[in-house]
Amino acid sequence: MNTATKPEAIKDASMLKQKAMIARNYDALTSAPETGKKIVSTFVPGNLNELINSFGLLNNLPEINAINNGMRKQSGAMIMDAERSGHSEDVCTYVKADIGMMSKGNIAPNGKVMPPPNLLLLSYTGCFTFMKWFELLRKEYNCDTVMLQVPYTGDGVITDNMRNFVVKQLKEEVIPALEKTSGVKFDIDRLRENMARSAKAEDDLVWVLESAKNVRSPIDAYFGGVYYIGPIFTAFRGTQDAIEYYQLLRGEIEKRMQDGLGPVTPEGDMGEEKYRLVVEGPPNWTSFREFWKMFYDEGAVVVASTYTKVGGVYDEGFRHDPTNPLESLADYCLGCYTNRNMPSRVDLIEKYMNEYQADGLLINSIKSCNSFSAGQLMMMNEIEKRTGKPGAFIETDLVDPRYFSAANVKNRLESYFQMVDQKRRSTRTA
Amino acid sequence: MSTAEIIARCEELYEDTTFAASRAWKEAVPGRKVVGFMPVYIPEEIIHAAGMLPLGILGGGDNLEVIHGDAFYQSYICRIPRSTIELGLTGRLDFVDGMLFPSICDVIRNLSGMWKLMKPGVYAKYFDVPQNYRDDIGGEYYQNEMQELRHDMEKLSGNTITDEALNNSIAIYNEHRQLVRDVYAMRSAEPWKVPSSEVYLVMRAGQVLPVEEHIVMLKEYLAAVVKEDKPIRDKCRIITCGSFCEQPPLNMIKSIEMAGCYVVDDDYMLVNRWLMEEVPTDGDPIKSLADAFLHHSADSSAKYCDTQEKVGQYLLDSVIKNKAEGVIFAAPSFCDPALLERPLLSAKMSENNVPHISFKYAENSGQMQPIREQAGTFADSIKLWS
Repeated sequence: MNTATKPEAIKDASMLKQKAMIARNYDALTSAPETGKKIVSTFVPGNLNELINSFGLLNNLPEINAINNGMRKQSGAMIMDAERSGHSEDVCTYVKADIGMMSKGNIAPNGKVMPPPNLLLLSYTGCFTFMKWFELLRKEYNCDTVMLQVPYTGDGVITDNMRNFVVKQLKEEVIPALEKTSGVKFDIDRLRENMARSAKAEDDLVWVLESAKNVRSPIDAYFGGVYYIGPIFTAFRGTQDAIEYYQLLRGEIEKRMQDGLGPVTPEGDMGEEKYRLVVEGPPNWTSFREFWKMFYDEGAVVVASTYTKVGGVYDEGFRHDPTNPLESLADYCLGCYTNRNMPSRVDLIEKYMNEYQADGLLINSIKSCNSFSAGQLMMMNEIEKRTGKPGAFIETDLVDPRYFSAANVKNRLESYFQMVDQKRRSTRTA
Repeated sequence: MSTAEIIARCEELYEDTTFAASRAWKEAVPGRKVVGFMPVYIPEEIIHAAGMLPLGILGGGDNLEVIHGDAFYQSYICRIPRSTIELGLTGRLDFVDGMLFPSICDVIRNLSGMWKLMKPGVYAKYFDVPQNYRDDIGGEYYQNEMQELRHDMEKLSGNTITDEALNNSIAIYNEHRQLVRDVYAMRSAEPWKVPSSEVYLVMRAGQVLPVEEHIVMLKEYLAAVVKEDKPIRDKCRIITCGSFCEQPPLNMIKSIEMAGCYVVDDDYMLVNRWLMEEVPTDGDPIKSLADAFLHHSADSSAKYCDTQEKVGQYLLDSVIKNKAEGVIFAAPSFCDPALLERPLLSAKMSENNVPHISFKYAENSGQMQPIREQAGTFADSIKLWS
């Protein structure tokens, strides 16, 4: 019998705070039938957390539930359950994990039953699948549904027509639906207060992400980054908790910089920084730690990632603006990473490659996510052409363990790091 | 002209991946321009009113060897963007002056940006449509989007698009749409006379020909088909659903028929049938087109269904209207819209005791025996047990 125990992950104060915030939120969600609180289910990209909170509503995010189930190795069975009930093996595994979670009793990560939502708020931003996902959920829950269509910025710009369309939907569809669900009248001042808090937290988030511009980055902006974006992308944007979390996190990163430390990993401080990478695409969740280890064992640090922009591209200057709350919410939704056209995405990655002094671009192509994945091979070629830095391509999935082949990924990464070394040598001798 | 002659011409157009007919149209008069568009719907009237040719790009089918296109996509992406890239990179679309990528799914959406990167000198646009069907919200947004497209088409063509020209184009497309509806109605009434493979080829021809020419073809086909004397077979009446974007190979359409099915409705060439009623020609044409889209357009998996009750109703209505005995869900592999919606549609069919089966295909699927066996067994089971 194998008696070896998994080493306990080392946690900073900010991590503990985030863990407590998440636990509190799940407790609030699962105790809603007792407390009388109402639940809104919505999606991460383009979520309207400040608005939802201004009505005193709770925010449940199906992708986050799927991620939790993926990290706790439970999503595989859920996905297969959904496939057995007729959902295609070809479609998004977040959807199937969500449907499968219901068939298994809809148990939240705190072990309690997740109550059905009172309202499905479909924020249709940057992902076609969202639309049909909510149609599937509507059939299961048979509850009120409201849709916010966020036009795709196909020409790389937000037009007045797009912004006006979103604002009009907010005023005439979304806010009335939230008023009906909550029984609370819309209070724009409360929304402004939430948005002011968002902007404050966003400032600190950007500082944290940009700390990776230091050579000897104090953070990993992908594997660590997914924790850093947690509060701002989910149920906490616009809360005092989020402000405090980012202040705490910023303090920790400042200290790491003063101490000359690299990123913190589940096994402690990372050793020598050998490779600086930009990563495009979401991570795999079912083998998250194993995946991360493949990087830090090799001294590879992700200095910038696009996944950490999927719920808002704050490092290009956007902040929630309390002086124009609805227009600002519209701009936030319209500007999310996967709502940007391919040339804009390539430009952003090129900027990261240069500003973060990256050695290369790694694309983690996700089978489930055509919004991210369709066109990534072209993106890689474009970046290689523009920067002269090598790109690499690996394929995994979000929460389907059948699509994570550790040996293949590791092999590909090792070859890639050799390629980066080779490129460096040839650059030096040129 | 006989149906055989018409179908021979259509088959020639279908098999031609160089788009010779559209090239010929362009070359016939100096200054003419061509605007390509992907499935599922764009307001062709705006292109037509600018004096340009709308050209439906439906992938490369099973006649095109995809070499370059596969290098752009992972194995889990459908086939149509690969073959479209192939068409673009092999010079087959070098006569196309602009490309429109309508809102249908994330893959086609992203292809719009890839086209911009791949062909920086060519006009390329993602054309969004409303999923909000209120006149004062989605309608207003859509009207503004169409005005922007109108402006772009004016710039591309060098011609002003007057309201009068646009209303005239709408009238021409109204006539076209009525003839298309007539063909489908005739097939539903007498499917033994109007094989689906023929209907498909006739409808495909409309993607590469000027609308006026296709109107003539449809009239000729309708006139010729009534003269056909084909025996009624003991086949079951089925509807195929899920093939609105990447098209099935012609052999698959034939195989379903050969397996004992009369296809009495389908969504293969939905673009020709998107607007389901006559569009007014005496008002603000942009408003008329917006109204038609919001309130009288086909339902499909590419659209949001705003109430639970309406989910799949379009398919059930078609089953009832066309007296169908079953539904075959035939979707392209990795097609998000069709495959995500399939459980909802199949549940609707089950709730209403409509037999159904499902399978997947790719535009270049070559092996039809499994499909023939599956469709044949389905047809037999309907005949024996329903």
